[in-house]
Amino acid sequence: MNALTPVPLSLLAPEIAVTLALAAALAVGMKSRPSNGLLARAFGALGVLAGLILFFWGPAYSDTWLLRSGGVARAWQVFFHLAALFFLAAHEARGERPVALLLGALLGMDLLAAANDLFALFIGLELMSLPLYLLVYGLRPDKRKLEAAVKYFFTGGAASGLFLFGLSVWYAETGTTALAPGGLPSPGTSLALALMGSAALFKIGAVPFHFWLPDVYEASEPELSAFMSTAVKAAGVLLLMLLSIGHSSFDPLGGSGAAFPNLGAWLPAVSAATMTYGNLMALRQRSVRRLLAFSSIAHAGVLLAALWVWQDGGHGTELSTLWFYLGAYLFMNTGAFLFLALSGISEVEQLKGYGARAPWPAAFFALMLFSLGGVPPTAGFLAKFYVIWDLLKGSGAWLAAAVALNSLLGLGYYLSLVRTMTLDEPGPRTPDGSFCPSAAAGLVLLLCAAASLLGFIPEAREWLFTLLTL
Amino acid sequence: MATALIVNLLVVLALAAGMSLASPLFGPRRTLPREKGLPYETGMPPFGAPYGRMTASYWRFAVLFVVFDVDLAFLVPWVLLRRHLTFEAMVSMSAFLLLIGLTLAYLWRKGALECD
Amino acid sequence: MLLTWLWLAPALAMIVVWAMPSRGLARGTALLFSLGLFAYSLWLLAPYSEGLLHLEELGVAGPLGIRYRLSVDGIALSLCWLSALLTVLSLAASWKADVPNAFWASFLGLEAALMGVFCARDLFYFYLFWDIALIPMFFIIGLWGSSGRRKASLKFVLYTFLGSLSLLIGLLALVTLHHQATGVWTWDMSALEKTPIAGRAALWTYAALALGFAVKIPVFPLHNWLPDAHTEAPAAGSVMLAGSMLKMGLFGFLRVLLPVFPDLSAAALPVLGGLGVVNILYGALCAMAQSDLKRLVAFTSVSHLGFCLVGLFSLTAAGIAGASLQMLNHGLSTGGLFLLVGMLYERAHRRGLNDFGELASRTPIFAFFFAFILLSSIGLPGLNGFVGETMCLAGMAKASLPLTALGLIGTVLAAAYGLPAFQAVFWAPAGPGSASPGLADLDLRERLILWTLVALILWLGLYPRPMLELLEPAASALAQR
Repeated sequence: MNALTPVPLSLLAPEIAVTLALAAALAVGMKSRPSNGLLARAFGALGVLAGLILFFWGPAYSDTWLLRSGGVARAWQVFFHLAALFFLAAHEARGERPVALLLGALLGMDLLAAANDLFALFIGLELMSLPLYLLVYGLRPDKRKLEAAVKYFFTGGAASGLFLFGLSVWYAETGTTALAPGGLPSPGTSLALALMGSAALFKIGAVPFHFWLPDVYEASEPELSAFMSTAVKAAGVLLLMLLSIGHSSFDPLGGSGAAFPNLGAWLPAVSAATMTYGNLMALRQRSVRRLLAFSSIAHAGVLLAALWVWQDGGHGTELSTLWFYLGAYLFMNTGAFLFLALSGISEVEQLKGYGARAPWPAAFFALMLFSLGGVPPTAGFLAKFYVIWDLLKGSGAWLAAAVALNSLLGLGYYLSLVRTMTLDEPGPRTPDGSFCPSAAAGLVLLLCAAASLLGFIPEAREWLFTLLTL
Repeated sequence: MATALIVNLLVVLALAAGMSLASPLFGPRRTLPREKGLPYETGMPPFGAPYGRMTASYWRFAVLFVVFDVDLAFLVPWVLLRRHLTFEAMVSMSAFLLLIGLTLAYLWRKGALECD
Repeated sequence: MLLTWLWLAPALAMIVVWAMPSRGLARGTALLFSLGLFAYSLWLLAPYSEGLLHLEELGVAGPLGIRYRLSVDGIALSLCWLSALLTVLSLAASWKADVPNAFWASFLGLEAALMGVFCARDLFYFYLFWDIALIPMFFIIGLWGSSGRRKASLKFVLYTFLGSLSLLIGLLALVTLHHQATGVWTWDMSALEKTPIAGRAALWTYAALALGFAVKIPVFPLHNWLPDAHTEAPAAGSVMLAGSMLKMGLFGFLRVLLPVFPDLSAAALPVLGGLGVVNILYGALCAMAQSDLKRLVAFTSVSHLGFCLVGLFSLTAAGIAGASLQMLNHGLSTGGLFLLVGMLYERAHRRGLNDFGELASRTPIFAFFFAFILLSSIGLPGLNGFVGETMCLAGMAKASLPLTALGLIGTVLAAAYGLPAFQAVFWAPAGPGSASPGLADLDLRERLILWTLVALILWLGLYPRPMLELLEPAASALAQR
C-alpha cells in the first residue's frame, strides 16, 4: 500500500472553485432576508464554469494514491459540470438552498470521478447522493415529493450499505482499499465487486435496482430530473467502469488494466433486461414525466451496452462511443425535461394539440423525442448507430439486435407523443401557448436543439473524443 | 474467505431463527385472558397511541452533533501533530475549519439552532 | 456540388416555405420552386452525358470509411426526374387545399430525402436519407389524411422503421465483415462491390438487407402497411408515396444488393423472383375484391411493383432495364390514378366503387383521362405500361419459364381488376345513393396536370428509345456482374 503522501492541492483546483462557489452561495443566503436565488445561481454558475476551465488548464493526466485527474476522470467531470450548468440555468431557485445542494452534489460527483481509492469513491458517492435526496423534496411541502424523497433516501441508503459491505469484503480479500487489480479473481473479490456493482447499478437505475426511479423522477421538478437522469447515470456508469477495471492508473490513450471477467458476464443480460423493461413500461404511461423516467431507464440499458462494448474490446478508443452516447443523451434528455418544465405539461392529455397552440416549442419537443427515439438525422440516432456497430464488431450480435428492436419499441411511444402533440385537437387541459424561458434557459434550449441536429456528421464522435482528451 | 462468510451467514440465521422459535416451541402453552395482555397503565384502560410523538428537532440536533463530532475527530490529530506537518496541511485544515464555521454561521442565521 | 443541390435546395426551401408569413405565398413559392427543381434535374442530363456526374464527394474519409459521396447513373437520374415531376404535380393538385405552410414544406422535405436516397453513393448517407423520408410522410399522412389517419401514420412509420432497422444491421454487418475479409473500412458502394464475404455470415447479411428493402417495396408478406397508408394519406401524399417512396426499395436492391452480392442474388432468383410473382398475383386478386377506389389503386401498386421485382431478379440487361422503365411507368400511371381518385374525392367526398355511376356522361373529360391512365396501368400496347412489363417478362423468360408464365397471368388479371372498376364508376347506372349528380368536370389546372401525364405516357409507350438509352447502359453494366 502506498505511503500516505500528501496530495498536491493543485490537483483539486476545479473542486476548490466549486467549493468557493458553494461558500459564496451560503454566504449570499445569510445576507438578505427574502433572497431571490439569482445571485446564488450566478455564483454557482461562475464556480462551475471556473471548474470547467480549470479542468483543461492543468497537466493532462496525473495520478496519486488518493486522487487522479485528467483522462477519464476529466471527461466525466466535464459532463457533470455541463449538467450542473444546465440545471442552474433552468432552475428558478427561490433561495440559495437548491444551488448549495446542487454544488454539494457536484462536488461529490467530481470526487467520485477523481477517486483512486475505494474510500474516496464511497465518500464521493455519498456526497453526491445526500444533497440529491434533499433536492428531490425541493422547497415547498408536497406529499408526493416527500414520499419520493423518502423512498430515494431509504433505497439509496440501502445501496450505500451494500457498497460498504462490498468494500469491506474487498479489503478482507486483498488487504488494500486502493482501486487496483486484486490479482486473480476469487470468490471473495467477485462477491465484493458484485456488491459494489449493485450500488452502481442502483444509481444508474438498471433493472433489478430501478424501483425508485419512476417515482422520484415523476415527483421532482423536471430540471432536477434532467440533472439526475444525465449526471447521476453518468456517475453510475463511471462507478461501474472503475470497479470493472480496478486499475489505478487508467489512461484511455494507453492500455487499460485487466478487466475482471465476472463483471462482463452479467452486463449484457442486465443491459438487455433494462432496455426492454424501460421501453415496455413506458408504452402505457399517461404521465409524461413517468414516461420519460422509464425512457431514461431504457437509455441506461443502452449505456450499459456501450460500457460492455468498451470492456469487451479492451481498446482505448471504444470509449468514444460511450462518451458520444453520454453527450448526446445529456443534450436530448435535458432538452426534453426542460420543455416539460417550461411548458408546465406533466400529463399526456395535456399534450393534445399543443402543436397548434405553440408551434415552435412543440417542434423543439418533437426534435428531442425524435432524437431520443433514434431517428436520423439526429444525434440520438448517431449515438445508437455507433453502439450497434461496435456491438457487431465485437461479439455482441444478439445485443445489437436487442438494441435495434428496443429502439423500435421506444419509437412507438415517442412517436405517439409527437402524434398527440401535433395530430389531436387541443383538449381541455392543454395549456395555452405561453412558453417564456429566461435568457439562460433559452440558451440551453438552443444548445440542445443544435446538438441534437448533429446526426448528419458522423465525425462528431471523433471530435468529442478529441475534445475531451485534450 | 468465502467459507468464512457463508459460515457467518448461517450462524446469524440460525441464531435469529433459534431465538424466535425457541419461545413458542419450548415455553409454556397458555393463552392469556385478554385483559392481561394489555399494557399496564395504573388500572385505567389505555388510551392514546402507544407510541409517543417524538420531537423532530431531536433528530436535527443528533445530526448536528455527529457532524461536529467528526469535525473534532479530524481536528484532534491535526492539533497534536501540527508541528510536524507542512504548510499545506495548515492551509487545508484552515479551509476545512472555515467551511465548517461558515456552515455553522449559516445554520445559526437560518434558525436551525433554536430549541422548539 | 451539382448533385448536392438536388437535395440541399429542397431542404433549404422547406425551411423557407415553413417560415413564410402567408399561406398563399408559401403555396406559390413551393410550386415555383418544385418546377425549378424539375427543370434543374432535367438540365442535369447535360453534365451527365459528359460523364461529370459520376462522383461527387466532400471531406475526407473518416477512420471508419464514411465519407459524403454522391453519384448518379441513368437509373438514378430517371428516378430523380420522376420524383421532381411528381412533386410538382402533387403540389399543383393540392392547390385548393386549405392547409398550413407545413403541408407544402413537408413535400419539399420529402423531395429532399428522396433525392438524397437516389443520389447517395456512401451507404451511411443512403441510410440517413432513407430514414429521413419517414418523417415528412408521417406528418403528411397524420395531419392531412382522411379519417383513419391517426392510426395509419403511426403504423406506417413503425412498420417501415422495422425494415429500416433490419437494413441498418445488414449495412453494419456488411461493412464490418468486409473489413474482416479485406482489412479495409469503407462505406462506398462501388468499393463494396463483389465483396469477398462468404458463408453463413454473408447469407445473414443478405437476408437482413433484403428484408429492409422488401418492407419498403412492399413484398408479399410484409405489405400490410401499404393499403392503410395509401388510403388514409391525402391524394398528393399517396402520389408521392406510390410514385417515389416505394421505388426506394427497388432502388436499394438495384444499387446495393445486386452489385455487392452478385452470386447470392443469382442463387436467390427463385425466392425473390417467386415473391415478385406472388406480388403480381396477390396484388391483382386483392384489387379485384376492393370496393374502395383508393385501396384498389394501392393494391395495383403491389401488383405493378411485382413486375419490377421479377424483371430485376431476372439478372439480365433486358429485365433490369425493363424494371427501371416500369418503375417510371408505375410512377406515372399509379400517380395519375391517385390524382384522379383524389380529384373525385375532392368533389364528392366519397371513394366507394358503388357510390358513383354514369360519370362518363356527366364528366366526359374526367372519364377520358381516367380511361387513358387506367389502360396505361393495365398495360395496353402502345402505352408505357406495355413496354415495361414486356421487357421485364422477356428478361425473366431467359431465367425461369414457369415464373414468366405466372407473370403473364398477372397481365390478364390487371384487366380483370381495372375494367370492372371503370365500368362501375363510369358506365353503370347511377344508384339511388350515388354521388354522381352535381359533380363538376375537371378544371384547367387539373387538366394541365393530367395532360402532362398523358403526354409522358404516350411518349414512353410509342417512343421509349431515348429513355431506354438512358437506362440501358446502367442495366447492362449491372447484368454483366
